[in-house]
Amino acid sequence: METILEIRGLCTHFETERGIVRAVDGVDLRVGAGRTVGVVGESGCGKSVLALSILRLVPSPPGRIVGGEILLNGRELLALSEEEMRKIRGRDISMIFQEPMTSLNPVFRVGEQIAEVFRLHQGMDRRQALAQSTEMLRMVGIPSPEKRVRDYPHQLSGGMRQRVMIAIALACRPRVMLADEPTTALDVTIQAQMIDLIAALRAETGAAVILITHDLGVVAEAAETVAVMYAGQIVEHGSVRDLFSLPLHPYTLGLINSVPSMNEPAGRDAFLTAIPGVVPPLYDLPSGCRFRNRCPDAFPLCRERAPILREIAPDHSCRCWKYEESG
Amino acid sequence: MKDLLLDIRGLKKHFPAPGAFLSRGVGVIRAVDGVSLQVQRGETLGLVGESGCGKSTLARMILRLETPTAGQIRFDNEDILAWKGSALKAFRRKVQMIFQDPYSSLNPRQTAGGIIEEPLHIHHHPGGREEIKKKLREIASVVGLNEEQLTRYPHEFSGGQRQRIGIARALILKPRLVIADEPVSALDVSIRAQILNLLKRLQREFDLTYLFITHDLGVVRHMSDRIAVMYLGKIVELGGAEPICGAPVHPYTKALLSAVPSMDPLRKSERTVLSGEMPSPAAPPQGCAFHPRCPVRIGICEQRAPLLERDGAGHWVACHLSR
Repeated sequence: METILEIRGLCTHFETERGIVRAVDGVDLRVGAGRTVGVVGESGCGKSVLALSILRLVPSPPGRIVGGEILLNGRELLALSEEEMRKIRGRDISMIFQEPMTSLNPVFRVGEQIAEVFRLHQGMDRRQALAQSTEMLRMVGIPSPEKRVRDYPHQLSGGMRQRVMIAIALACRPRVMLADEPTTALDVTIQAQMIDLIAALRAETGAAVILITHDLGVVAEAAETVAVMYAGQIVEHGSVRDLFSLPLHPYTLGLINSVPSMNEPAGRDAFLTAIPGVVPPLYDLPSGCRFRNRCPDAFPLCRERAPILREIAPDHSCRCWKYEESG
Repeated sequence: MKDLLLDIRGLKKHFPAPGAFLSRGVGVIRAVDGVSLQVQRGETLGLVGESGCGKSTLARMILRLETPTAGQIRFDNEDILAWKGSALKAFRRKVQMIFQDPYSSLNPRQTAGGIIEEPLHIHHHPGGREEIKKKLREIASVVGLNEEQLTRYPHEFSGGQRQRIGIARALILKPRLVIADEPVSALDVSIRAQILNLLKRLQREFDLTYLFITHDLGVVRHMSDRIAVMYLGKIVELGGAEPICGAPVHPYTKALLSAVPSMDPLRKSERTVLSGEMPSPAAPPQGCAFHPRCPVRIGICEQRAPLLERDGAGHWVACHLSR
């Protein structure tokens, strides 16, 4: 598998009044051509900051990438000038945001918003770019694209707007597509359409996809590998198959058990196994393992030393003392 | 009916819709278009559907926040649509709502305690200050808030804790019916489970009846005794939670269930992905409202709207093919 994007030891910190927020704290991740890696976690786990860091769009100050490497086809993005980086955004790496309503400009026709990408990155003239935009709308499955290019965002439904966002993201056939909760604001039947669309376009363009979501089901359907994030770090990493059939980290198991099952009857007396407590504030993390306060399996060592992410089974790693051999 | 709490018959809500620009004539948005529903005392009725299907408008009519265009709502065998003034106020004490967004449904300038006890003041609770404080402490401990937290303001709480405040506020009047409109949709997965467990425990403890509105089929299956599925202002299928989720009959229910992403990586393939989107309630299709997206439609579906009809097992379906 050809690696397109590789992240090594990435650290993004924010300086706040309450202290340093370690939003991304030593993350390693790699994704190959035509592959999807899912990043799952709850709010505040650092998954969106990870995406912004890859694009170097972390607001600074207060944010700063303090360490690590981001390699796109072997080229170190953190060393590039802002000018060079601007060429990469939208052309080599693009992003699909969660809120199609707030991410599209309400005063421009959708066709022009797609055309902007062609004019900026490929130097097309206006007419050419608009014709290409119509093609893009057709590609993402918008009916009668010749008419729709002239619509304003408010004239489109939520699902259509998300298709437009995907069209913008794919306009330059990027090598990497970052999708941050691309289906969260959509209804289930539309969500299913989007998952299929992203998969079809990925197969067609060979892009590598990083899918960021809180929805375990979406990851299981759309990705091949998953990274589970908790408090700024990856706590478990493995193939979808391994991770969902044999979750190793107590947090992963807790997340899976928190979701009501669609396959079993529930009934009056069925309670979910919830994870107690809440995610700790990132400026005030517990000593040792960051999950230990909420962990059902915690033992004294978890308080003293932070575990590292270690391969427990082939291609399946976990950050937990439970799996260290004693001795 | 043995123990009917809420009885809705032929309920409709039509909103005027502005016509096209500069055109004369006003269209009609049929947000709720002839819904009949019965809720038994002590049960949880789940109401599922996608955005725009009319489920929230239905809830607002039950709360008398919206006046129906036609139809009847009976609560405890009394016609609530006839009520005004003090009778209406007394009714509102018995029906409370838990809102979706714990961030925008709490007053940022009030303390948690102030928010929770406010319904007692609005409904002129006869007890003195001491008694109100006692009730406040009671309900707070039931939902898992401690006394110190009652003096804090909403911004100092996490989403899950705020939803606990909203639940305490809804329950302090000891309502009979609680309408929960997407109560866990804005919460993180691990917090969602805590709140769902809390709602189930409270139902047992206070003998509550829930109308549970959500778009999340996993959540609705977990919470409900019976489920009603809405599409474009109408109920298309109604029945016990297990038959609905285990053996759905209506093609829309089937599609909804198969669209739910599954965590079981082995169960991927058998998905039916619906094409298209829900049409606008301002221009619903002729015949069955679902027919343009229906994978199994037949000729008659384009001409006649199917009626919601009951089979032998008490399962209601509105589909020409189910007969």
